Amino acid sequence: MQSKIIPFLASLLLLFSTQATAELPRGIITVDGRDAPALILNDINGEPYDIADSRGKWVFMHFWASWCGPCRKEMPAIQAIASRFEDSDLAIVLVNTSEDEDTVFDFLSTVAPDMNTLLDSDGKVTERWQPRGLPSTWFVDPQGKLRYIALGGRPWNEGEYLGFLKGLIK
Amino acid sequence: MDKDKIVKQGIFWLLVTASTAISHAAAPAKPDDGISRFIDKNLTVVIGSRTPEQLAAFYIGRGFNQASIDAITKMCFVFGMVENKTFDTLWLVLDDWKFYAADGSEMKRWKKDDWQEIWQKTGLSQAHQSTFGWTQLPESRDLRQYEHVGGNVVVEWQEKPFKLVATLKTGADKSGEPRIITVENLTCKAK
Repeated sequence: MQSKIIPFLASLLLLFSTQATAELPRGIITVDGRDAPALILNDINGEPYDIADSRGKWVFMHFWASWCGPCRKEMPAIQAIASRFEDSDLAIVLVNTSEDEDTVFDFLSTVAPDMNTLLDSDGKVTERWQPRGLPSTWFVDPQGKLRYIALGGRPWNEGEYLGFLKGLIK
Repeated sequence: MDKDKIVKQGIFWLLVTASTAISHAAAPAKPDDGISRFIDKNLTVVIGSRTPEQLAAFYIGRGFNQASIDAITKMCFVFGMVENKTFDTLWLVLDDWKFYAADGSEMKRWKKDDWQEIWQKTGLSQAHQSTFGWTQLPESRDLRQYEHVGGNVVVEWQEKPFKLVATLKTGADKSGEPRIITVENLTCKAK
C-alpha cells in the first residue's frame, strides 16, 4: 500500500509545483518568444534610448497615453516600481503614444513627477509593437525576446504583480 | 461652447468611459441610461452610442483639426466593451458585428482604410490618426481570460433606431459555441 501512496503523493506534489511555477498573475499572458521589434526613441529630455542597449536585462516596456483612463490610474504604481527596481536587472521603460511634449509633460508632472518617458510622437513605433490596446506592457527578456504581455493596467507595486517582477530577476 | 469647456467635457466623458471599463463587472444594470449591458459568468458586453458633442470634445481636446472634427461628427459612433471571463478564447471580430437599419438593410461600417481616405482629405496628422485608431475597437482580437477591450465602431448615420447583432466566436480555432448579442433600438445621437 505504502509503495503505491508515495509515488501518488510525489506525482501530486509535482503537479502542484508545476502549476505554481506556470501560473501568472491575472492579466499577464505568455507570448511566443519572437524577437522584440526595434525601438529607438528620444525621451522628454531629448535623450535617445535604444532597446538594444538594455540587452542583458529584462525590460518592462509600457505603452500609454494621457487620455487613457486606465493609464492614468496605473501610472503611480509604475512610478513606485521604477523607484524600487532602479539599478536592478529590470529596466522600466515607458513609451507615450502619439502625444506632444507639452501634453506628456503636463500629465507626468501631476500624476507621476519622477517618471520619464519615451515619445513616440507619430505613433509608428507603437504600431510596430502592436500592444493589445492602451495601456499595455510587454516584457522583453535579457536576450531581446518578447516573453509576456500585461493586458490593461495592473497594480504593479502589490502582491502577486510585485512578486512576478521580482521573480524575473531573481 | 468655448474650447476650455469642450476640453473639460471631453475629459469628463473620457473618465466616465474609463471608469466604466474598469468597474463594469460590479456595476448594476441600468436599463434606462441608454447603455445595454450583457453580464454573465462568461462575458461582459457593454454597448451604447456617443453624441457628436462628446466626440468633438474628446478629439478637439487632443488637437484634431476642424475638418477632421466635422468628418467625425457626421458619423454615428457606437461604443462597445467586451470582456472575456472564461479560460477559453473569445473572439471580437468586427466583420461578425452586423448593424441593421430600421428597414432591415445592413448598414455600412467605416474601417481603417475608409478613415485613411478621410484623413487624407482632412489633412489629419499621422499622430492624430494614430490616436484616433487607438480609440476604435480593433478589427479582430482574440480575447484571453480576463482580457477586455473597449472602443468605438463607426457606422453610417441613421435617423431611425437601428439594431446590432454581434457574433462572438469562441475557442482558439473559433469552433466553439458562438455567443450572439443583439441590441435593439440603438440610436445615432443628434447634435
